[in-house]
Amino acid sequence: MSDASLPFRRLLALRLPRLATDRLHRRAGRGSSPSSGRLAGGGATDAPLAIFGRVGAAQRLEAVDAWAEAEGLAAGQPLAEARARVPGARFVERDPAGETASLEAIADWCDRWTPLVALDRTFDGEAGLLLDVTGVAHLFGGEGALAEAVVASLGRHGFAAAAAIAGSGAAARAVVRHGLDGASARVIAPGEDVTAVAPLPAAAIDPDGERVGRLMRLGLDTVGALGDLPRAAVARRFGGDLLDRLDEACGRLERPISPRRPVAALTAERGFAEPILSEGDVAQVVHSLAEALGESLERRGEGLRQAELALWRVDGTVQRVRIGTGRAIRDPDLVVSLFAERLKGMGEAIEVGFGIDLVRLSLPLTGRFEAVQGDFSGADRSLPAFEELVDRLGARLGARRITRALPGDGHLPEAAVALVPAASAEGRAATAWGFGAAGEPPVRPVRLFVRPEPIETLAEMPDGPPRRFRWRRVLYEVDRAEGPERIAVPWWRLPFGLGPEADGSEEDASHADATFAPGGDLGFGAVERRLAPEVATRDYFRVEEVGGRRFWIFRAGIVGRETARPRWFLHGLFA
Amino acid sequence: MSGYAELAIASNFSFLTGASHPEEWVGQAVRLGLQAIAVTDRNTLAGVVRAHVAAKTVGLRSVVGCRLAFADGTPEVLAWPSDRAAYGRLCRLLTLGNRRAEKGDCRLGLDDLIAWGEGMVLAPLPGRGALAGEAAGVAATLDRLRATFGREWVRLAAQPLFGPSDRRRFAGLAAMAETAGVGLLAVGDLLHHVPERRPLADVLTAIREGVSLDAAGRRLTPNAERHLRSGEEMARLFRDHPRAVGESSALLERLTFSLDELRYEYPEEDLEGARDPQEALVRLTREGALRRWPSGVPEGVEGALAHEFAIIGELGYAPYFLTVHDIVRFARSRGILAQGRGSAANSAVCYCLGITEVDPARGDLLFERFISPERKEPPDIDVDFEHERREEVIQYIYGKYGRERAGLAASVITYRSRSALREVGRAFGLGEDAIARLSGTVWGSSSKGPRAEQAARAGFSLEDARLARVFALARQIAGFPRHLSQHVGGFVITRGRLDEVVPIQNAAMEDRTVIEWDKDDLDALGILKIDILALGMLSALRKSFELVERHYGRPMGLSVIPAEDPATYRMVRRADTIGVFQIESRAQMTMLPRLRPATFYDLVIEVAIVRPGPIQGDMVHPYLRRRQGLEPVVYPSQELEAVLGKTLGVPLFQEQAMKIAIVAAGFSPAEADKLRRAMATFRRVGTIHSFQAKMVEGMVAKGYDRAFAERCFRQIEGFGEYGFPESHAASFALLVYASAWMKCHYPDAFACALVNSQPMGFYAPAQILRDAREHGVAVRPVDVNRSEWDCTLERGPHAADRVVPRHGEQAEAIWSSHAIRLGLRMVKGLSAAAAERLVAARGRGYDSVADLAARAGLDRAAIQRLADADAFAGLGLDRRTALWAVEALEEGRREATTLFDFADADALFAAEPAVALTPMPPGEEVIEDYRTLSLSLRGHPVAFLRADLAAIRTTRAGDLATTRAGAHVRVAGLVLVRQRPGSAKGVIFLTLEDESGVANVIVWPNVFEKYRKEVLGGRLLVVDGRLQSESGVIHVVADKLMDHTARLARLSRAGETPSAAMASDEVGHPIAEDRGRTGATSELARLVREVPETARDLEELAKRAGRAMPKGRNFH
Repeated sequence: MSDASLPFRRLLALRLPRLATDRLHRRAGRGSSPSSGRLAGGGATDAPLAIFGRVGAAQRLEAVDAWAEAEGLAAGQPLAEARARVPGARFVERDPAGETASLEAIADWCDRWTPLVALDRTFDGEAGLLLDVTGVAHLFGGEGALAEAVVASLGRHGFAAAAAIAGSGAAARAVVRHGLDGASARVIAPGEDVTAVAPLPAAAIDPDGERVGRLMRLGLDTVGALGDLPRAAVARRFGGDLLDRLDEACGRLERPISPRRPVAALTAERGFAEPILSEGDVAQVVHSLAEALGESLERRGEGLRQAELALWRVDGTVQRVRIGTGRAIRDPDLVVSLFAERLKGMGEAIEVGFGIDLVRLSLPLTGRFEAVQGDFSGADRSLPAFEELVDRLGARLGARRITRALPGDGHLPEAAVALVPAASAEGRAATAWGFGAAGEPPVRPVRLFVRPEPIETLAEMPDGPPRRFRWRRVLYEVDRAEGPERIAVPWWRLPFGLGPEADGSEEDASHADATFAPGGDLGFGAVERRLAPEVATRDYFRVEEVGGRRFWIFRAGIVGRETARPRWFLHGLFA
Repeated sequence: MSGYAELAIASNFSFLTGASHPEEWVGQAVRLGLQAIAVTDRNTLAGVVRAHVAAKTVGLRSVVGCRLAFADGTPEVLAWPSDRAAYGRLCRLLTLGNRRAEKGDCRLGLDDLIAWGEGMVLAPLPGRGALAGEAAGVAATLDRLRATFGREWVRLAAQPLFGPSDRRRFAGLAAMAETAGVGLLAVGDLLHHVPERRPLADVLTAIREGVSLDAAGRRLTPNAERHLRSGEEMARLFRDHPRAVGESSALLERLTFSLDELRYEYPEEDLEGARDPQEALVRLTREGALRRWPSGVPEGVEGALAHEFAIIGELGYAPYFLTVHDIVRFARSRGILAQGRGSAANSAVCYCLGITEVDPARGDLLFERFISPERKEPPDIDVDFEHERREEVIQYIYGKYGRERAGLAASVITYRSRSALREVGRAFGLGEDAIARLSGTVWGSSSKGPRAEQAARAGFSLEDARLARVFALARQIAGFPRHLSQHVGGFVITRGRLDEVVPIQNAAMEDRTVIEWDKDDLDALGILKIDILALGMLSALRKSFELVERHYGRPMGLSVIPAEDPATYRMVRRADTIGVFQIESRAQMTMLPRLRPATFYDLVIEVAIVRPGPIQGDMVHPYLRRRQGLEPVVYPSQELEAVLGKTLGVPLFQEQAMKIAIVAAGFSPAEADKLRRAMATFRRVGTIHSFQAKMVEGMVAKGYDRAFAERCFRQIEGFGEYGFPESHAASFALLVYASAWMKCHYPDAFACALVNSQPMGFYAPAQILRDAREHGVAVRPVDVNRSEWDCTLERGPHAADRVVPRHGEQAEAIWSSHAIRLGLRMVKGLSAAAAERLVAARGRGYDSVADLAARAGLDRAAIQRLADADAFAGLGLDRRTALWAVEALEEGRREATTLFDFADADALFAAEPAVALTPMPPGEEVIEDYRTLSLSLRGHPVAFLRADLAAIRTTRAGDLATTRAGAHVRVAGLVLVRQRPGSAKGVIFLTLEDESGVANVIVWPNVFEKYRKEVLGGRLLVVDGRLQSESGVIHVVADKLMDHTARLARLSRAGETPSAAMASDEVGHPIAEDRGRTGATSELARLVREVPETARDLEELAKRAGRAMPKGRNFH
């Protein structure tokens, strides 16, 4: 920017009144038919949509879409009441993180008009952006055209938006909230801020709802009325910050907008007068930046956990790539290779295009660097090696896809193992496989079959172990057996009627009557249906055949309760 | 084989653990042929009475026991007391643990058991995990118990786990028992009576742990084996240790204690020189009789007294009467109004003792309704006290008998349909939204569980397995106890230590202790309880008496009010009864012009008739027709004329129903009472059919029409739970009369006292004060220089001269000459403490906001509330000016400042230029009044919209009376009350208020479905409908509803609608004193169907069932 001394600033306040619902509509619309008609005007789906949040135990609506509004729903209504009023509506709990992400995405996207974009959080719970458009409006055909263009293009993406441009952020913000008179955009000519803001309600400049209420009750219902009062009287009663807000809105006080992107812990960048044009050059630059950062890290006793590489191309686009590591690292080679893996994994390459004029490496997250001392042989570096492997594989394939087996929390043997991402905190934690008691034989086999294999047996009724059984055509004589360990399936995952749920026949009998009622016997039909091994209760036995081999076998179905003819399966092998 | 007794059972009183009712365990035990069972809940005896009663019914032996869980790491120990003394120690032990812990918890250590465990068989129960980790602790506990109590008192319990190595485990336990020198005892350690209940056990676990089933993992049961087993099964499972199974039945010889041994002993009262309680009672009664009838006891009463003395003496109930007498005497000595209610009013003795007020000479009492020699159950005396001072009485009882001898009965809170659906839904991982929608489909709060069809109607697919299961399990869990709460006022007082009869817990309320049994348990064991109830009207009456005494110099009291005052009855007949006890609801008001009460007995009938009992028995219509002379008064027989004479041949009271059984069907009085009670609890006793046959056949045999006989029986059925005994109605009618008399003659004192006794009754202050103003009483605004905390009376105009025309005929009866000054209590959000400081520091008055701030030492928020409420108007400061001044005060300044600061503040004010604020528009002032005071003396908000409303041709509510019935009308008003009886078919009743009065609107379901939004969301509604008028009662049956709330918002610049502030939906404070006595929702639904015109006005009943709907939200 050549001209550093502009006589005045121009700010565009953007308001996204239905962000919370629009983003959901947009998401829903993307899957089926992304036609613009469906998404226009703040979104429209089959059912009215309202977003609710909770304050303590109370649930209240916080945002509604146009349809819900037409049905009489509004922010502030208790959820229960809203439900009763519009039973057909869809009520979704607020997702603040998701909304922030959406707003940030929109902010990024607004880069196209100006690089100076800030999230506007002045009014709690309202989504807004402030764009410093000083000196850029002429590129888009003037301020009026710019404001219209912003609103229109957001509208095409399914976001209802309104914009106002004024000489200060506060004035623009006040106008966009209360001074549009039904229009979607308005420009306040330079110097006109005070007159534009004066007729607006106090709520336009003051986010403190409680204070606004007090002002209203005093009859001070416009910014102008407030401005007419003696300043000392106002300050004394309502605090100096109200005067500040007034002054900001009138252009008497300026507040800089804060940049949106978080400042990374450590950053290094290198600009080039002559744009670099090859990928190899980029890799070299990254290496040297990593080296430079590595020194800083070393001084801090830290290593990087996350790194972001940003490449500014001369055509004005920015390419950003991010990596994460399982443990803190410093090695520049490793950093370069992780970025390379990441790009390959994404099926991308560094797009040099017409050249890159700025490369920045920033480290949003660092962690304690733990030096590992090798032993004399230099061989035992298994842990870092393992972590490195996890990091590299993760960078290449996606961190979620590298998993580790951990003990699962379930009674069924199949559910006793769970795979979790190796890079997650859970996956990293040391875990004990605490099965069986000391001095006793193991209760679970070394090898568990994915599919239990049917066997033929001769067994004691009703729940004794088999005397002999045939597995894979070989007959085994059972020498010793222990069991049964009875394990039932998670009944709630079965088709209804197959689970052991008691019937509803007790419905009109009081529990006292049940004293005399027959027990909850199940009909024989139900018994037969439950024969499938995946449905039946299993009686597991640890058996040792005369030859010394040990097996884990089970009977499917409890005799008398579930079946008359149980079937047998072999499910695993002990050593 | 010697059989098996299951001694380790968790019933569902092990909250969120046990998955079967005690009764279900008993039933299953009988089916399996067990010798006995012991319900051993975790650190509680809350379920043992139910098991005991059920077992007795089917002839099974039940053993009392408990599963003791310790806070000090000791393994759990099963404990069964062998005799009464040991049982007492168990109760003491549990009480000790309870009193130490928060409500609902029990903290015990092994040392406590060592101290109290004598005479109990104790069996440590190893946990269900691997034995290895626990073995040392179990062995140590065994050793310590054996060393203390001897080996014959200690066993080691072993339960089948169906784990990987049960036999190995049993062998280990047997070895451990051998080492410790104690016997091994086979137990089940059971959760559910049949395997089919395992899902419920898992759901309970998920609820308890606050996780979904999927996330609960191994916290759930691995299998369905924790169910009751036969002796053969147990013998098979313990085949390596047959003696362990035999040990269970061997123990039965030692565990001889039965709950039947609990002998209730009345507390000893001071006999004041008499030889025994009976003599003391006779003496006190005689003294009382002399006070009641100075000129001699009437003959009939003399006979009744002799009869009662005989029965009381025979049953030994005299001490009980003395106890109640003492409590009432205490209350009277403190100036607390008290009056017995219920069947006790059938007793001449109670009347003489001053416990009740119904003159036995006036009516004909059925003492057997109160005490029956055949019914081995203690009498039940309920006494109402002023609601604001009942706590004094309660603390007196604790003080006199001590917490070891007095405790409140528990009340078992159970899962209802909605709570069941909600929690089961959560266990199944349904989202909050789905759960809310699901439970939204369920109407009513039935304990029978949600009906799936309701959800199906609401569009949920029951094909979905998960949903079907949610419903199936919610139906199972409905009726399960969730926790123990305290009974509204049922006190148990004992001679010996109460904590040796039943464990005592801390209540949620401070200074309260509660026993673990509820009133049914107490009834079953014959343990007496005294109901110490709270009644708001008694508070209001006492306050109004005090006001009349102070301002009119006339001594007042319940007994001072002149009887049978014609002006009072005139007022009652006009249904001018806002604020009058019992007959103020719309249902009652609808009835008054038809019933036309002219004597006290008519009031008794009025109180009794608007009840589900008579309605269900279809007695209301015939009575009304006869009363109005539309139908001849005939009697089914000569003998019944004596019974039904006073009620024109239609039975209206419980006693009459009983007497029909006696006179016409040949029942004995005690049998008749049994019949009535059988109705109430027929499900449990299961004897209803024999009674029905006996009664109907008995009547037919004596020549009665079978249809009539069956109708009589049906009526008793309804009376069982929902009818009033005549005595009770008479007790209430006394208060009806007293409050009506006060309202008739001193509307100022009456309204003032009512407002000062809030929350109570049916109407909010706005309606009460409006009614007072209509009766000529001036009401003056809150004023920082004149108001006390309470509303007060000050000299005012003669009310009789200012009565509105509508109440013109009432004018001559009104003696009021005072105005009501609204008290600071009316200011929303102002604390009593702040108000007290303000009044105390007032001196000769405050002259400015700053003056008040400085001298009263209130914080700014409190002063702001006063300014918001326009309480500075007396100083010439309007609302905005006062608020402007308040804003200038320093935040948080509390303490009165020094003289120096004072001057400083003044200086600051002087320095500030005057600011001219725009005056508040009148409409907004009214809205602000409602917002800050819940009422306005300036006018009605609707009045400010009148021009607009007239433009759309609305009729004022006050003009409906002169509108032709059947005409199409349009009315508009603020929604005061919205309600719907608990049935999906139910109509909605709306009460709209405008500046001229109220309009009653009926919304039929089809209209409701169409205008749901308007009905539920509107604060200001415009309703088109047809006018219906019957016996002077006017309704608008709605065709169309329009929400005009936005008009209200425009009145206020701040855009506030006088929502909750305006709608006196706030009247929905349920009256605690009478809750639970009225019918369940389904009864209301039946009422609606059967007697539409009464059903139209169900406010009162609905409210009592706790279901008035503030802001139309939770009305279903």
